Amino acid sequence: MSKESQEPVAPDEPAAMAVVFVLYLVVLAIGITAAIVIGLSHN
Amino acid sequence: MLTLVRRNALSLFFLALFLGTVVFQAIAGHAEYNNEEVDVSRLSGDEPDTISLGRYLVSSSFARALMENWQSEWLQFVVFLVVTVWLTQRGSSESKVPGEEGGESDEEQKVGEHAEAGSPLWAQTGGLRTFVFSRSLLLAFGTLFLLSWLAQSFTGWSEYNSDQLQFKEEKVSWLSYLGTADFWEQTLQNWQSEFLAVGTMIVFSIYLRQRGSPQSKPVGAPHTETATEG
Repeated sequence: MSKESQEPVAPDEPAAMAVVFVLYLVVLAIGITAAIVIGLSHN
Repeated sequence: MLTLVRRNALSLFFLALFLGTVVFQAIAGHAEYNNEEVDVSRLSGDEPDTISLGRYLVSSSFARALMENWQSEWLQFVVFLVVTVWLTQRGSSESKVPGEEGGESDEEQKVGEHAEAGSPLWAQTGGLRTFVFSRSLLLAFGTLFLLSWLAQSFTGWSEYNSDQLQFKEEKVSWLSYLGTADFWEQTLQNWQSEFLAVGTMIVFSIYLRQRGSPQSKPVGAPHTETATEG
């Protein structure tokens, strides 16, 4: 259960949060896709 | 810019920590791979089939080592997310208060007509979009778990067949590999550690504290107090 945030949000903060989210998605997508391709191509 | 980095420091820190440890895992894994090749060739009398670091990075051995750990982490989150909706632990910072089990009301979850001004659009609309958004974290982790487990099975299968060829035995199909002790030992050795770690966090957070951490109750909170953050 999280505490309610009372902190004001600067205009550029949502974009920065989205960048971090996309960074994680990219790392995950590259890792899993590469592993599937490697596993299948070596068989 | 500095402020933006500071306000995203937690996720950036873990991303950097992940990338750093993957690099060191690759270096250590490469050394271990070649050590084993030398040992095996010594027994068989063949030339050791050692490989470069670059080749190791695209090997099934490295990819399997990554994926078998990744899948278990997502499974841990999937189980934790679902089970904590329905089961409680008195006194744990990781649990809801006993008696509040279930998906809770729309008012409590701020969806549909109870959405607030800053609520995400898909929480406001109702219908299928709100239904999906209400389970989006579970869907994301569930997808990551299934894909990384699938990747583990492909890379493990490739490695298994490589060993079969090395010892002059028949290659097996992917479906046959899913029934091998090799696949399930790699899978279950990761699952057991995740479940133990989650259980430990749930139980230890009843009696122990970390001042200032949202993962802990406040230092002075009673042991019987559930679902508070310090």
